[in-house]
Amino acid sequence: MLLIALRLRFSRPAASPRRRSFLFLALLAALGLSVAASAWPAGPSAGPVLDLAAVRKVAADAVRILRPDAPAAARLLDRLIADAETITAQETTAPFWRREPGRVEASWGRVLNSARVSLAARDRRRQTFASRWEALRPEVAAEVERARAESEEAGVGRREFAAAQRATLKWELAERYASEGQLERALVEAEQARTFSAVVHTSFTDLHSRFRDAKNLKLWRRMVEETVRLSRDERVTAFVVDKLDRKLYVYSNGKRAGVYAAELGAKGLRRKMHSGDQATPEGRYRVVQVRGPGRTKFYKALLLDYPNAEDRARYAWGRRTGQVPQRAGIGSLIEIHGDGGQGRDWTDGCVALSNRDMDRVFAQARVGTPVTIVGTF
Amino acid sequence: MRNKKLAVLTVAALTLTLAAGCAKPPQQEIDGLKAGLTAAEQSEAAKYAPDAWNAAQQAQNDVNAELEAQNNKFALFRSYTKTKELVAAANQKAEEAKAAAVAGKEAASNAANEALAAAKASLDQATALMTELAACRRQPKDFKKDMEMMKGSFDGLAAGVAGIESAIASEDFFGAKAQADSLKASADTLVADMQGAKEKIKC
Repeated sequence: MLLIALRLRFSRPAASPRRRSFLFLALLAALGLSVAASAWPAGPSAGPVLDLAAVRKVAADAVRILRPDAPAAARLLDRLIADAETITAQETTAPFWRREPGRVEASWGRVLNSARVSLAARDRRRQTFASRWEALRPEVAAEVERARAESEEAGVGRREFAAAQRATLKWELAERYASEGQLERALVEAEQARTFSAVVHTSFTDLHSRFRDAKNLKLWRRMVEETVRLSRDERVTAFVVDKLDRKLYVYSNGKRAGVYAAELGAKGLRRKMHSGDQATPEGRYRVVQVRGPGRTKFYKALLLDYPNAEDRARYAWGRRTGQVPQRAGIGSLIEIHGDGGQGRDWTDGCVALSNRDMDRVFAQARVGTPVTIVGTF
Repeated sequence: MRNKKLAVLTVAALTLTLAAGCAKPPQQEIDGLKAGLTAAEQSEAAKYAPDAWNAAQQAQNDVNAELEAQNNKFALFRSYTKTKELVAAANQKAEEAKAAAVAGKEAASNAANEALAAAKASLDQATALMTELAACRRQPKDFKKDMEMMKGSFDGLAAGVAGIESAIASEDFFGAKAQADSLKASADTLVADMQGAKEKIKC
């Protein structure tokens, strides 16, 4: 257009100079208008007015919020923002005849829509985690606490202590993550704490199942009845130990004359099979030695006639079936002795009483006094 | 003659106008900034240097705002001098974010490894004490249960080391450190219990 104008201005006269000048100025004006039109900023030519600064801030905030919890969504949003920026730059610099009305708005609309959807999904996830955590927290706390208590029960062992320790560690970690707002991680750790607690609880339940078994209960009750009848018929003192309740009952002439707190072997709730298993035996025994101070390490002691015939038969069966280690003997030196009152089961299989209680029991015991140890009755 | 001069002046003015209207955004520098920000992001700046990363993003926003401001002007009045300065500043921030991310990641890795080493040291101390207690001549009957509980606790703690090492291997340094700190606290309690038991049985 410029060339045409110049040609009109400086070419040889074909029309009057006035007319040529008019044509030249008209063309110059058209040229100026087209330059102005192409140089004018694009801006949103159609659709709603877009506040790009505000949209950019919203998008950047969304990316920042999403990054820790939903990195994939944050990356997607980053890409959409980059696309929108490219489109915006293209549209603002493009000449007017190449601009596409609404393209910039559509690109930022995609960004905002993706941000809205991702933030809503993130909020839903967080709410789900929060409600799961609130529901799980008291349950797992109670399970871990129970595991700690159960791991100290007579009969559960090193494996259960280890599981209880791991449950405690995992639970501490879960609470730490939860306090930092990392609920997803807190839930993972809490579930692991629950798994380890379950290991302890399963052992504990297995250990206790025999105390609910009707056959066992019937047998133990019969043993206690026979002992009480013996005490009544022969007018003697007899002792009955309830392993589950950790009690030693004194019967005199068939009547209950005293109850004392008792402590068992470190694995006392198990049935004794062999030496060193720290289990307290179950059966009907008699006192074979009365050991006063100086004759025992544990204040005073009543030595029982363990193993009896039934114990020997069980030991032999255990050897045959491989339940008793090859080198393990049947064991001996099962006593009722003092130095108890520790509030836990700690002996190698004996029954321990506090020294004060031992004094009272010792005073009523003779060689031949019947002692019946049962699971419970 | 007068007309010729006018024409020359007109042509010169038009040329100048077109030249001024051709001011373009510093695309090469902006692309460089984008690459710098991508590099910082790949260095996990958002995780290991959140402050520096936010500063870099803010700088990028400033660049965008300035670009937009210039684009909204009439072409004759656009100037990208300030944009270039902002891009340079944002590039600097992106570089700083990347460097801070690398340093932050290394610091997190070191902290996790140190916490693991401290936890292992506590466990080693527990092992040594356990050996001493086991070798002790005086082994009261009521001590056996304690010993078994301590061994069980030790087993539970020792099993946690593998989880921490695995967390470090998968570059979950913050998680590894949290686990190692918890483990060390429990191991220290166990060591204190063992020392108490040692004194109790006069070993």
